[in-house]
Amino acid sequence: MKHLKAINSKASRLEAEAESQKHDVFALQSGRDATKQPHIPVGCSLAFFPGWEVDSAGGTAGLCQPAERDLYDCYADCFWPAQVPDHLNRYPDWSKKCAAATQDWRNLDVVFP
Amino acid sequence: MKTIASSIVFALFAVHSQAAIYLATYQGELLTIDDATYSIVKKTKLRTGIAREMILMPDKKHVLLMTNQYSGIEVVDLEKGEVVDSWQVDTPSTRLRPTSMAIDPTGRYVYTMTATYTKKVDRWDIGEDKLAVIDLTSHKVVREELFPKDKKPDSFGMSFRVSPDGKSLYLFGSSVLIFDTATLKFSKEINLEKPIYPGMSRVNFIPEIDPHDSPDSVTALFQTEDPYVHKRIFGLAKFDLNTRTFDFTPIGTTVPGKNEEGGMSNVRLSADRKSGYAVASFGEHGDKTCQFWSFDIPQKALKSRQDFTCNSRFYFSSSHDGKDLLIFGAGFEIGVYDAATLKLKKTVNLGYDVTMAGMIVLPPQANQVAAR
Amino acid sequence: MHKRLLRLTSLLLAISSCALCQEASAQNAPPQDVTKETEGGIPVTDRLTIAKCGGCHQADSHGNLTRISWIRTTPEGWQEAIKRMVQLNGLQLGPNDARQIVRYLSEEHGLAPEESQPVRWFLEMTQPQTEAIPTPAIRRACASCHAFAKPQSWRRSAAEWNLLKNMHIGYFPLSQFVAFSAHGEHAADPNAPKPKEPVEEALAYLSKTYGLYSSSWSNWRAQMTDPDLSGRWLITATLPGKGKYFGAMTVARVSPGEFTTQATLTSIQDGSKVELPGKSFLYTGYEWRGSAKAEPYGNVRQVMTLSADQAGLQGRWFWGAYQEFGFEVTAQRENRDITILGTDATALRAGAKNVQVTLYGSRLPADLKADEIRLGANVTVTKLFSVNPTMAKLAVDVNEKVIPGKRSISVRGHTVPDAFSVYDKIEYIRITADTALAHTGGAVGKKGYVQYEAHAFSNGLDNLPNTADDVDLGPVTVKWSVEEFISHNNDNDKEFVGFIDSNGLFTPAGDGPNPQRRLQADNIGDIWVVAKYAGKDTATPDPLETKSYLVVGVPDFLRFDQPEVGSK
Repeated sequence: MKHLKAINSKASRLEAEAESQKHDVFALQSGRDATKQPHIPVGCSLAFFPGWEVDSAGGTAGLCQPAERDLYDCYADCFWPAQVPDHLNRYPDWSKKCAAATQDWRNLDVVFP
Repeated sequence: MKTIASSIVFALFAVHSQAAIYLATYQGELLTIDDATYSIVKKTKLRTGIAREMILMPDKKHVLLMTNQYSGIEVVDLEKGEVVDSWQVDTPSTRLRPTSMAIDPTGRYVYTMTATYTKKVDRWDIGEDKLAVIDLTSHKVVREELFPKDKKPDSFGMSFRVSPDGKSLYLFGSSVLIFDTATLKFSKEINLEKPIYPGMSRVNFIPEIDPHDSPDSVTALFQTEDPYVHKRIFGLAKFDLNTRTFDFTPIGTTVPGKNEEGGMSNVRLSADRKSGYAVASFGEHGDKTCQFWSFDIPQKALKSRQDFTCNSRFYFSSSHDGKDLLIFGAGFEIGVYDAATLKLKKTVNLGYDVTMAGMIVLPPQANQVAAR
Repeated sequence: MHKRLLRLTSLLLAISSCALCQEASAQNAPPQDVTKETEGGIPVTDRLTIAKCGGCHQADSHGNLTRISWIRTTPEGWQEAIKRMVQLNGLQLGPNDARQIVRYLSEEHGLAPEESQPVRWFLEMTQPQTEAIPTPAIRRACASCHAFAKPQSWRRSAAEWNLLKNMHIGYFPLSQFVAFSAHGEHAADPNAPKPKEPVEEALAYLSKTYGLYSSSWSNWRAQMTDPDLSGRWLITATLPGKGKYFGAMTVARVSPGEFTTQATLTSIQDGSKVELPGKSFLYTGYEWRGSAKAEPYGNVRQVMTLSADQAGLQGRWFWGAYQEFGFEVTAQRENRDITILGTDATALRAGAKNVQVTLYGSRLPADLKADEIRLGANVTVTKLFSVNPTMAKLAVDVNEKVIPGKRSISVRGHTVPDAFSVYDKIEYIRITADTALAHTGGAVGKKGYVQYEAHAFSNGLDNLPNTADDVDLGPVTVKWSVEEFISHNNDNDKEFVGFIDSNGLFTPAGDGPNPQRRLQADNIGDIWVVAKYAGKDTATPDPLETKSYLVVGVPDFLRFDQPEVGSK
């Protein structure tokens, strides 16, 4: 059962992880090891320019504030093709209804390709 | 009396036109912004879409833009505020994606890096990167050459320049790659690894277009580290486009950063080229703070610093007279800061999100005004 | 002698020059085209597929269509590919034809149950805590934008994996920089040989591990049937935040691989019923995709797999803008015998007396006796109050000496394992997700919620917490709250990102910039979600507390999703 699996004890979690996870640390653990990389919650993009859901530290503090400031830069060259419409292919006019995303963001569309 | 007065006014207008700032928007327009008031004085609708790159042409009367969706090239007459020429470099089945442009001194040819992505009926073919020359008169790619694979720059965003004699193409990055413009073949590499002293760490040199740079050289901020105590410093590097020589002026200690580039922005020069300005970013993510640094170039000294509130992403530029420092990008605002005090003067709301094509700052030009 | 020497010398010369010329020709030879197909394909024989796809995907003399014959994937994978053909390649195709083609391709170019096992979570649209990806380079190349489960849901020839890379670059040129290469990372020694690009490492791995042919697929293809699932199915389900449900589903075949369904689930928490009338399709002989209209949830999508014995279904029934809500469902065919489904009890405490428990099942015999209900050592049914075919009401005593752990229920030889737990003390609690992602919404995007649960744990026989033998005692009622996570000074995310209710449902705040925040930041942030348990059955006198890390992010403005596979 999926939800119960998510809280298996740490030992079996570590078993399931590949070598690449060696450096993951879960936020619950106290005493951070400076050599460990943050665990980015699954579902977040790992493209950190500075990031979509999270920045490279696994939080939101490093993202553009507000995110709408950055939104069209994300869209035009397609930095986050799984989260933001792609200007180059399917949605060339996505920014047309809204000149400054921070101000006119309510005119944006959510799309389902 | 009236007639004489108006003709004097007319004559004055004919000699000197206002400086301007140009920014591209996500509405597919080029904005002309008054350098003194920062108000939008003209909006030029582009024909082929949203501008991804733009460059001032050598005559300083036209701007060349590249739009994103079909790699459209557009030439805008700045005075008329109109697109006077436009075409698409891509075809329905190929994407060339020209990246980074340099225009030769005659203003006829654009040098750029292209990919060749070909959409076949049932697949994509991805070709090798090439150097290409586009003839702005015929609209055609007149020459292209495979980019040497082992010299591929490893940083995103390169900087091209053409030498004043039109014979050499320079690609700036962690080294300077020199290509012959007639054949587009690689001819020489200038290694920037030891700029000042043997053992100094590698330097990245990616100049931007600063109107206060002389036409024969490009200036950029560089950072390096000595091989003994590993102190990281920054300074100004100047590359002479004719003699191909570098001149390094170390200035001060730099901001510690995660990677070699550290936390320093590009540099902007004052009109008299004696002062320089840069933005230093400290810390990461939410703890990031920004400071303007101003430095005296002849004295090789850091003059002053001032904190300011900065966003995660921004671009740094300056007004034509060097009196205003400008923070813009990722958004619709321009933060105008006084270069002397490094303090915020005002925040301009443009009402349009600007693209990553950057800002063109055009100093006052001698221009003909259309007869009344 | 002389002649032989001459001959030998000339032979040696010939060999060495030949070797030289081989090397020379190797150097001059054009680089190998890694997108040129070298493997045999799986011919496409369906007339509609050939008619609609063959215009661009040329057939060869074996009946292979380019690209298609060298690829296998899930129904969702085919649906997504077909949509791209329509949106970007000029294909005109109606939904009925698309459905038929997806059905055919899932059957002849699908994944065997073994092959789709690692990506069940992806198909069921849950979020695991982590993805097992072999190396950081492969993670960068394949999981920078979407889950690694996406490529993991496909099987391709080596040439096809290379063509997939080409497609990414062609449509999304920045993928080269963001994911495929190690741009921006300078080697410490610029003279050191350049390491392999992440995408090359990934392609080597994918070609080797997820190639076109496998014994799993050959075996499955041979034995694949189109089973008639008509009949009554008994259901055990859990809904996070609400608990266990029992019920049944009636399935009726409409045509091969297509069914109508009627399910009823009853909550053991409050007796409320959920009716789910719907439709379903069976792909590849085992992939159930359905949808049902269920109050109060709206459209509920179903993704389940049919077991090899064709008598079991397991998966998830879900809804929500981010598919964040759903029942975990297990179904089994009702047969003529007694079936035990489970009990409303989650965890019974050592020393408890006269606990009222309900047993759920099917065809429970009217003459059932208390001592026929076996709950394991030291747990005794003291009284059987009533029994009907689907429910038996009991009283249960739990001995002090009981060993903590899961228990099965057995009645006349019919057993259900792991039906409930017994415990002595709750040693610690843990929230169901260590890390989670919510999305602001309301104006443009819809909100992305997180439904939390806290489970109680016993240390197990080794008496140590957080070890492999710990026993999950099931959900417990806790006090929920949020706390500031200090990621940078004075961000006060807690005040802006949303709130958690007493049932563990986190509701994120509204989307868009918030003028009240520094730099007009959105209502995004990172916080702690805190659960406190203050029951009297804990090992320590103080309340038990645990935390989970929550990121509240911006909405997704684009979602790749294929609900079409389960609806008509």
